[in-house]
Amino acid sequence: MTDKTISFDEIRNDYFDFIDSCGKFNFFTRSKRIQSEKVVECEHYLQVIKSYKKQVIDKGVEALANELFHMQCMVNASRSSLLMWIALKEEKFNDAWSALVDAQEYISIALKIKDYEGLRNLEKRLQAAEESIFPGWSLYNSPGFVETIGNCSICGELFSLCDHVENQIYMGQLCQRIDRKIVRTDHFAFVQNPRDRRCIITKISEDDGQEIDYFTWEKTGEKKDNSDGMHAEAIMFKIPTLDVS
Amino acid sequence: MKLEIKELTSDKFDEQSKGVVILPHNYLSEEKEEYHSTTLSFYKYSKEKVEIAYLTEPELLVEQRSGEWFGPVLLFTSMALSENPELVSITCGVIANYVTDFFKGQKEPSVRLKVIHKETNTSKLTEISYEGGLEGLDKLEKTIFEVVSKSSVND
Repeated sequence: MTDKTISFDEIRNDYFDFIDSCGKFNFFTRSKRIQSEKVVECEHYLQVIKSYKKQVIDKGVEALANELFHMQCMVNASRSSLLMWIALKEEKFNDAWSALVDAQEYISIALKIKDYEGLRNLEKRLQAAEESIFPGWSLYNSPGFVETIGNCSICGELFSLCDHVENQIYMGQLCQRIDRKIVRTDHFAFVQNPRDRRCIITKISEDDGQEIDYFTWEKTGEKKDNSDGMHAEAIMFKIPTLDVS
Repeated sequence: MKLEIKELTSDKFDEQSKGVVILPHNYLSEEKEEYHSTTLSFYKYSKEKVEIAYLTEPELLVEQRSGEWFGPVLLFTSMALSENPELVSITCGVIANYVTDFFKGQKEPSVRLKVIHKETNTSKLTEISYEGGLEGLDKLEKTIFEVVSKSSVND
């Protein structure tokens, strides 16, 4: 077995080439088949980045671990963006919306480490896609829970016992409270500015009680009794699934 | 930006702390303490910068899934402020830095927090609720000073 040695500059250049290659397919008109192939390529490339990250973590080089985490977030942003186009073509609009929010959140995390023109361009393009493709929501759902403290995603300790701070990046990982248990649901509220923009209204009832799909405006066939107000069907909570470790 | 001041009475919180005390979200209730979910990270971030302690060790957290930053409820006693007159300014600075760091890469959030001033050994308690951007924190600081100086005059 031969070990191939690669410099960090080569890793960085390879990453920029890969991200550029994703950008070429980040348009609605590109073939769904090629976009799907690119998603698979992204998944393989993520494994490569994570294997590099593991090596620098083993060596304790935090700056490089964080830079590789930045690359991980950007490849995930590209992958999610491609998934958005694919889902749109399959008329899976809810999935497309979630993929868009995933991509935007990966960019937000990547920005904690590095900021440059290419990243901002992708951010702007996603914003433009959001405004031109999706209907827009004036209200989202925002639940309130009473929950246990949970553990730290960085060190695994009870979160009150360690010194890690949520939303900070440590050795190529985002710190989060994990393994929290919901003790009580306190409330559900409609808000303009939610923590999770995946929690959207998906169906509403019209004045005559006919229920319509909020994405397509097609009637669902259901008729609601509007005497006590308009009916809405909504996503109340989504378990976070971003790849941030 | 919104600032509201409420006068309350409570015989609780005659803490001997020389610093800021983090109170539970349900601080006037007799039920089990529930702290805002931001409490633990804020405490960890702040403890090297300002004298700060929990009223009780948090076990249950209230997680609000809206986009605002719901900060922990912060108690300043008149005793702590007489020992450390800079406490309010330092704490407001720590809040601003924490929120900026926490939301780096995201849109700057609206902040919601409650600050409680307690006159030590009396039952008078003032609750100041703040809602707004980071740029309004200086107004919160000014309001806290006004509440504190008014209570000193009344003493």
